[in-house]
Amino acid sequence: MSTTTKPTTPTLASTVKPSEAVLRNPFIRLDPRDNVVVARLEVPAGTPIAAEGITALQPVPAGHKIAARAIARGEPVLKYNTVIGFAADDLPAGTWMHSHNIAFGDLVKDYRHGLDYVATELLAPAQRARFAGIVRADGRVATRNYIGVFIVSHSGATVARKIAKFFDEEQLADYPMVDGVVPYIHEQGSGMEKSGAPMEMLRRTLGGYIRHPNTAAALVIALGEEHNELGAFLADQQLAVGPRLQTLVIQDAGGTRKAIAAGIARIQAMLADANAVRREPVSAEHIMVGMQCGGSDGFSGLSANPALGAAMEILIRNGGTAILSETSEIYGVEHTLTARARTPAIGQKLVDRIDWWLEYNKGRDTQINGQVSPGNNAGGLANVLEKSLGGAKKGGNAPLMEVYEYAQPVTQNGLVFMDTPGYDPVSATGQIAGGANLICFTTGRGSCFGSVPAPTIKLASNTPMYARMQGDMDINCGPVIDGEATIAEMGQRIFEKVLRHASGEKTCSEALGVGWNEFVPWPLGVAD
Amino acid sequence: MTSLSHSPAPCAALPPTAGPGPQPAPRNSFQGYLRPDGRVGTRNHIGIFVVGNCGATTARKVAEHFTEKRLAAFEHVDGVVPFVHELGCGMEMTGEPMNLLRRTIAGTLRNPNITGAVVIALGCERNNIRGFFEQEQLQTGPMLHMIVMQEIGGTAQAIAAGIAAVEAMLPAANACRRETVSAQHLVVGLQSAAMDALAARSANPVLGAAVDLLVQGGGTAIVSETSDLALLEPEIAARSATPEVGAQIAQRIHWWRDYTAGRDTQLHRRNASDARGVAHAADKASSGWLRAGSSPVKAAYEYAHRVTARGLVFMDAPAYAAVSATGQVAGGATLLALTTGTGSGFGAAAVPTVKLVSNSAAFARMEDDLDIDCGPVLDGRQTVQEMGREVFERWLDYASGTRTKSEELGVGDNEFVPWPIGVLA
Repeated sequence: MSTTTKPTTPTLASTVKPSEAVLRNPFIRLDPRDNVVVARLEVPAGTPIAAEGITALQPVPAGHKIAARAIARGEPVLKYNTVIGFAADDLPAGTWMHSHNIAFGDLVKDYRHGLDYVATELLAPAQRARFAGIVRADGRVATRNYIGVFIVSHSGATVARKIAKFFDEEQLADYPMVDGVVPYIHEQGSGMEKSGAPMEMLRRTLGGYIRHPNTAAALVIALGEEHNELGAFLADQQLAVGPRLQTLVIQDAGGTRKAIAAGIARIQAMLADANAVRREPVSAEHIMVGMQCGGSDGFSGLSANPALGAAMEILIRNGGTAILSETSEIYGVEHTLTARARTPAIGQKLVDRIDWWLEYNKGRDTQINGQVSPGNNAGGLANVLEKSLGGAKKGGNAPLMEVYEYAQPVTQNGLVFMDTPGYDPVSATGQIAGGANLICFTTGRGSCFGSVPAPTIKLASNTPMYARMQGDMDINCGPVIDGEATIAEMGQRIFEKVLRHASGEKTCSEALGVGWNEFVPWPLGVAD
Repeated sequence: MTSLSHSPAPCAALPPTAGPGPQPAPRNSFQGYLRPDGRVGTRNHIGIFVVGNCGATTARKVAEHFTEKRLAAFEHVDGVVPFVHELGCGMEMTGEPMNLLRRTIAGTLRNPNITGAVVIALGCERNNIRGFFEQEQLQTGPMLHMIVMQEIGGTAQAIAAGIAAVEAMLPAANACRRETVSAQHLVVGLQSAAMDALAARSANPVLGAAVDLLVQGGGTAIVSETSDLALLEPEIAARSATPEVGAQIAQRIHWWRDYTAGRDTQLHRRNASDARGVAHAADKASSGWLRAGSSPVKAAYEYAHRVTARGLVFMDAPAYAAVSATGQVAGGATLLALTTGTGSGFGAAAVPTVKLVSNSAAFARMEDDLDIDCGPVLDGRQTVQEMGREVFERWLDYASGTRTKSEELGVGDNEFVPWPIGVLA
C-alpha cells in the first residue's frame, strides 16, 4: 500500500471561492508592456479573457502564462517588462506559454553599475520599530538563545547528536531562557582538501555559527584526527577556549560513550550562564534577515516575493539588514541589482561572482544553464530567467549596499548580497554564518525548511497551498493573488510578523522541531 | 547484472534449509536472513530514506518514534534507521552526480539488511521521487512506501504517515527468521580510518588473512579507497584476475588524478608526512593494500554499483570512510571491517561495522568503540594467520547477530553519506 496521494495542481477553486474580480479576469497583468499574463487559477481552453481581448487556445494551469497578443518566432517574451526568453515559434494570442515554446537565447545585459543608486532615507532612531531582543556583551542582538554542539569533521556527528539529544524539555525545564541545545552536523572536515577555498569556507562557516549572537555558548567536538584539525581551526577563526567555548576530543576522552558523557557535563556547566539573559526592547535595526525561496511556483514572483520585498524595504528604512542570495537564481536579472549598487565596484563584485558561477557550472545540468527543477517547471516557471525575476523581487527596490562571499560576516546594513548556491539549506547556512538572525523563506509549492539558531519564517505564495500545509506555513501571501490585499499591505503584515518572531514567538518550523538537519556548509571541494 | 527486485528485501518465502547438522571444522557458515533474490542479510532493519535533504527532519522523526520500547514486541526487527543525506536538490538534474545518488539510495534500500522501506520527498526536489522510482525500477508495495510531504499536507502529516507505514510493515518484518547459510553469502566491505604506522604490521595484514579465509570459503570482500590505492597502480594491475579488470581500475585511477588535480588531497601529498608516523602516502597505500589479502581481484565496480562477483573485488570510492562505506553498502555489503590506528568511532547504518585496532594501547583507550585488538600480533603473542582466523570467526558471529560495539553505542544514524561528486546550483 502506498501512502502517497495524487499530485495536486494548485487551483484557487479547490479551497477558496474565487472572487468576482478573479472570475472576471482570471489573469494577472504585471506590466502594461508585457506580452504575457499569468493565470490566477486553472483556465480551460476556450475561455474568453475580456480584459485582454483574447481566448485561451489551450488549458492554462494556475500560475502559468498565456500570450496576451500574437508573438512572432524569435520575439522577446516580456514579463515585468523584462525579457524572460524568446518565442520558439510564431505563437497566436491566447497560446499557453511555457518551456515548450519559450527559448532561452542570448541576452545582452547593460549593468549600469551604480547609475540608479539612490540612498535610503532612514527613519530617525526614535521613530524606528522595536522588538524584544537579547543584547550581547559586544552590542550585537540575538533573536534566540541556543547552546550549539559543533563538529570540526563528520567523525564527531554521532557524539554531537547524542549530546544535544540528551537535553530534552525535561532537562532544560529549569533554564527557560535557553531555547535549546542543538547539534550542527555536517559531512565535511575529513576526506577533503586540507587547505584552500573548501577548507577556508568550512572553517568560516563553523566560526560564524559559533560567534553568532544567537549562540549563547558552544561545544566543539573533534575525533582527534581529521583534515580540519581542531587546533588549526580555532586558530584560523581566532576562537579562544573559555567558559562559553569548550572543546572535546573523542580519542582523548576514551571513545564515543565517554565523550558523550563528558560533553553532557560540559554543557550542564554552561546552562546557568546561558540562562542568565533577558529580552529588552531594541531597535529593528538589529534585525538581519536572510532571504530564501524554495519550491517556487508561478505565484511566488506575484505575491510572496514582492510582498517580502515590501517588508524588507520597511526593515531597511528602520536601519535593518536584508541579505539576498542564491546567485545562480538571480542570474539573468543581475543588471537590475548592479544599477542600484552603492558604488560601481560593488556592482562589479556581483558580476564577478556570477562569472565564477558560470565557470563552476559549465557543462552541468543546473539552473544557471537554463534548467529549473521539475517542481518549479510544473509550477509555471519556464526557465531560470523567469525564476530569477520573481526571486529578485524579494529584495524590493532598495539600493544594493554590499556584496559578500559565502559565510563572510555581514557588517553593512541595508540590502546586501551574499554569494551562495540556490540550494536552500546551503544558502541559509551561509547567511546565518554571516550573522542573519532571521530567515524569511518564500515558497509556492510548500517548503518544510527550518533553521537554527536563526528561526525561519515561511511565506506561502498562494492560498490553496497555505490551506494544505498550514502546519508549516507562517504567513499566507495568497490574499495578493485572491485580490484581497495589496503588495504594500502584505508587506506591512510581514514586517509586523518579523518583529514578533524576532521577539521570541515560535515559528511553525520551530514548533515542529525542524532545524537539526538543515545545517549544510557549502561542500565546494572534492571528497578524497 | 541480475534482475532487480521491486522492493527492499522481504523475508524469503523459501522453505528452511535442513539445519546446521554436524559442523566440520573450520567454521564456514553463519545465521543469516535469506532474501528472495538469493542474497543473505546479517540484520533485519526497516529504512527511512529521503530523495533530498528537504525530507531529512521528517525521516529522522519517523525513525526516532520507534524506540526500543516501541519495538519490544518485534524482537526480530533490529531497528528503524534513517538514511538522511545533504544532496538531492540544488544539484545537477541529470548525469553522473544524479545517477550516483539514485543508485546509492536504491542500492541501500535493496541491501539484504533492509526488509522494508519508506521513501520521503518534499515534492519539488531535483531528484524527483517518481523519476527516482522509475529510473531505479522501484515500485511501491507492502514493504516499500512513498510519502510526498507537499501532497500529504506538510511535516506533521508526513511524520504521521511515515509512522503508520512502518507500523504496517513491522509484523511482516518481524516474521523473518535467521537460518544457517554458507559464508559464501557474506559480503564484507573493507575500510580504514585514523590510521597509524603500526597497522602495517598488525591490523591490516590480519584483516588480509581474514579476507583470504573469506574468499577461500566462497565469500566476497570489497576493497575501495581509490585515492589511497592510486599510488599502487602496478601492484593492483598485477593482481587483477583479467586484463579487463586491470584496465577498469586503471581508468578509475586516471579519473581520480584528473578529479583532484591542483587540490590539496592525498594523491598530491605524496611527500607529506604527518605526526602519526605514516611517512609517505606510498607507505600508507602499501599498508592499506595489505587489507585485501592475497587473492586475485575478480571484478571492478564503480561507486555504489551492485556487486555480483564473488571473491575479492574492487569498488571505486574515496578514502573518506563514511562515503566509502555508503558505496559498499549500496553495492550489497552486509558487514564492514574497519582498521584503525589511533581509534575510530565509525559505524555504518544498518550494516554492522567490526573495528580492528592496530595496537593494544589504543584498544585500551577506546575499548567502548573497538571490537578487536590486533596488538597481540605486534608483541608476538599471536601470528597474523592465527589472528586472521579469529577475525574471520568473529565475523561469522557478528553476521549471525552478535552486536558490534558501534551497534551497542547506537552509531549509524549519521553515517549514510552518498558521495557528493557534483557541483551545487
